Amino acid sequence: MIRRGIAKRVGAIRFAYMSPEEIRRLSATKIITPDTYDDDGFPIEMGLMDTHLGVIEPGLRCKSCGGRVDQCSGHFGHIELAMPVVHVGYVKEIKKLLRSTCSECGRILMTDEEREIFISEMDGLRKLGGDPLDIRKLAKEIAFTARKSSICPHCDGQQLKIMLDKPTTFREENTKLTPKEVRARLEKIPDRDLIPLGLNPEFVRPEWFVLKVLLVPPVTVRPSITLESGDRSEDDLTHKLVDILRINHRLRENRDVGSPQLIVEDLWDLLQYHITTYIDNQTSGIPPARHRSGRSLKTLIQRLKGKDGRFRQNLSGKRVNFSARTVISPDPWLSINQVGVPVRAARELTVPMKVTAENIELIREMILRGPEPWEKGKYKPGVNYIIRPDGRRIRLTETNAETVAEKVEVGFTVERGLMDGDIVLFNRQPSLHRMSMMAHEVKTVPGKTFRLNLAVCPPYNADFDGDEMNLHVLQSEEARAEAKVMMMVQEHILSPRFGGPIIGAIQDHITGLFYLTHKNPLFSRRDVVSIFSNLVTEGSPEAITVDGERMWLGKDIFSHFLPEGLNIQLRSSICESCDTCKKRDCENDAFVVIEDGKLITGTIDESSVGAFKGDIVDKIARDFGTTEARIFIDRVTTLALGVITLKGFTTSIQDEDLPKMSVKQIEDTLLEAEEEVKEMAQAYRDGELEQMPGRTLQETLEVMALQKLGKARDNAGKIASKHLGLGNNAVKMARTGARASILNLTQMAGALGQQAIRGERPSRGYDQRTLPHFEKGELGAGARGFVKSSYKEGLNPIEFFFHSMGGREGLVDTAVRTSRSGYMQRRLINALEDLMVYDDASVRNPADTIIQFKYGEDGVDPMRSIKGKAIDMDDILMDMYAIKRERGE
Amino acid sequence: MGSLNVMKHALVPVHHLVPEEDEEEILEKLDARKDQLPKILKADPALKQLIEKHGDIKKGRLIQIDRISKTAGISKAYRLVVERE
Ligand SMILES: [Mg+2]
Ligand SMILES: [Zn+2]
Ligand SMILES: [Zn+2]
Ligand SMILES: [Zn+2]
Repeated sequence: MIRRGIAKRVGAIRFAYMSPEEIRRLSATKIITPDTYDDDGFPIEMGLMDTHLGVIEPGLRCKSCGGRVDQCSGHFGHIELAMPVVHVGYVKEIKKLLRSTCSECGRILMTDEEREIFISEMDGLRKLGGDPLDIRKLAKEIAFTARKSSICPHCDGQQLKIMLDKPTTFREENTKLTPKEVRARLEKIPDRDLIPLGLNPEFVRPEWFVLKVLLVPPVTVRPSITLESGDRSEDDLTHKLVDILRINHRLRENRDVGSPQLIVEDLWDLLQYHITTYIDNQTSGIPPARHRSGRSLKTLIQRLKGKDGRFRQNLSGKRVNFSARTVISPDPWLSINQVGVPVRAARELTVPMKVTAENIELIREMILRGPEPWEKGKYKPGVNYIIRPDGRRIRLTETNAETVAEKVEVGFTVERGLMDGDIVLFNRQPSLHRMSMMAHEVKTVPGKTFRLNLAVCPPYNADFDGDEMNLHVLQSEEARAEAKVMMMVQEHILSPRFGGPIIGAIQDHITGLFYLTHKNPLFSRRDVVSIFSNLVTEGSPEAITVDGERMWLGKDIFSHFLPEGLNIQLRSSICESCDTCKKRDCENDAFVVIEDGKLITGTIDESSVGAFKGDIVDKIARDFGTTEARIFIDRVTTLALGVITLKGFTTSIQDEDLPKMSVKQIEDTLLEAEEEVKEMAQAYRDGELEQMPGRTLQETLEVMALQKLGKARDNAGKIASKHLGLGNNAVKMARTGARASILNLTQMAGALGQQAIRGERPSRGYDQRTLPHFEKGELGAGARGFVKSSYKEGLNPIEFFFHSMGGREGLVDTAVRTSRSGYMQRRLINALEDLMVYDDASVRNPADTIIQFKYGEDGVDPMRSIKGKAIDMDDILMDMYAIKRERGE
Repeated sequence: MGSLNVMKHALVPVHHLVPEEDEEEILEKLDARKDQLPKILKADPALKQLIEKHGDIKKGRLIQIDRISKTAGISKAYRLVVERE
């Protein structure tokens, strides 16, 4: 087995500040003239566009390395500043250093003993793998201690207070410190005194924070663009550098001829302004430099920072070609393997086709049809581009179609629009598991939305309230083959997360199948034709004769779509879990028995075909293959929709109506519980409450109250449920697993129950009470967030307030949870992404060291496990019996 | 404070010292060199008990760990004995 090893490994990366010498050494040329191009349009020597800095025009060669446009990535230059200038990015650091060192001798404002203690503390932090943030925090604390002494322990010099006038001017009491003076002070600080202040003197000297030399980025970083009118337009950075050069020049002249101090200082300030805005044009305290048009310039910091900055725009996320994004909508007539692509998108997205001797005629025909062919009002793929072997692209238009068709030869590549059957990748964010990006077959559709089968909503976690999804067109045969074999939707019916199906029937599908199979209803010929009119299937289900008429049983219709040889037994979702299950004789028809692909008894619902739970889907996918499973899901969901369309289905608030008697009963139950809690609270106050082991008296009361009120809500629910049978549509949905739960129904019909904040009854808000409507210290049910009303009755204002408290907690929790679990998952992925399972089932990293001797310790692929187990004994035995039965044993 | 025998803790799996003559066969089966195996410090509390039993364990020896697993019965893992840094 050949495995790749690692030759070298990055141990650490250090970012440090550049010294003036380093800048000069790096520089390809000194820049002195603010002019860029001469009258002939050639770059001026020692100007900002000097060809020593690289080239941006084809034809020219770089004077530093001799490379052409695409060979030379550019070289830095430098500007010698007439007077030193403060770097805005380091003012905070400079302030810290000035304040914590002596203005006379430059020593740190502490004794050598103190300094050494701090240095060893810093060393200790570094040895423990010191996080840069922690080191910075410690340095800040040390600097704070140092600046508290107003007299230097080394030279007894008096220390005046140093202030920073934002953004870049330093002041000592009332005298301004020029950058030159600041620099001189920083120069005086000895190396060893820098260590406790968080600087590493091996790599940085503080005086470098006051610039004497300015690094000029290569022209390739700030290319000028030629407008259609022929005028040249310079990059914002170039504009700013021109300003700097002009002022720098004037400053030097004025200084050299000995102009009045005031003029020199004004120019110096102006240079400071330009260099500050060159680095960060959003520095607070100074107006941003603007373009003539009034638009503020995008300088260094602005290039990197924020949503449109280099990091978020170009590095963390990139735009890709051959992709599309739009709103999604449902289409029950598509297969789960398909995706509906609107014609507009299909025309724009292309697949490259190599022209060969075999397909050249076909391709000629395609080209002749032009870029946007239609056939009888139906979409036909067109050709957008023809690519010659030398890489030149020709855009196909209506007018050049004929000439281009003639020119095409073997070896050309043609980019054609999408057509039905193309393999594409389809994705919905957040892409949290591998099923978030699956391969689909294209089906072109009218409209402007991507369409998908409802059964693939669960893996994408998609709904249609405005969700958008992305589509990527694969560009090579290898990619398409790989996607088809590994990424097709049908290959993801079983989830690796829990070893069961994640794709299956949802909502109306389940209700529909309930109607079809529960208690085996009869369907007339008319009904069956109506149901089947939307289905693609062979043959027809077995009929029976009732009163001389051909009729069909629901279970027989369902059996028609089951593969032959399927044997399975399971409990339906509607099963009431009786003490002893009567199995086939269940009076609720809740025990599903399928023998040799025939549904004998039982109701088909969520536990048979539902996403996440469907055991039949699970078994078909496992024993009959993914293709059979896909066909089953496709047909059974359309069948279900046929049935529910025929029957009609609705639910309304009346489904939660209860007889007067029951309403009274619920009311009494709740009142009784309330009364009991009141008594408990009284007992607590009187000190008569029996304390629970391990709990305080108050905790005891809370636990008891929660128990009592929880039971009261349950009882209210039970009373309500008594009158809500399977004849009720809301109950049908809840019991079959189609939508909602019995709890939802009891909250609508019975009572909402206790509202909880962090698992406890609400207790805070006002002094000793939750709201001013209650007595201080009141501990009864109502005062602590118990809601007696049901959603149907409506909540009173106080109840509504408590309910909102619970609701808000839920919202906050989900917001916190998603961000936290997202980051946790990111770290996990980063740690595990380059591990691989080899064919001996060992898990190894790229350095070929063993991480796990056998994947998961047992070598079981979770997707192929049965609900996490390697084998399902019951299932195997049942298949054995079926074989025996067949043999007549 | 009495001394704690970690090996008696329910959550600590059984550690064995692999006899030197078996090492080659095991590495062959794992398709790995010794340096590709996970490491165990000679100072590991689990090794302390083994050293008491077998005498000194030189670095470079292999330790076998038998873990009880619900799905795999007993799963074997190996560790290479190393000294700190
Ligand atoms: Mg949505
Ligand atoms: Zn160059
Ligand atoms: Zn001093
Ligand atoms: Zn039953």
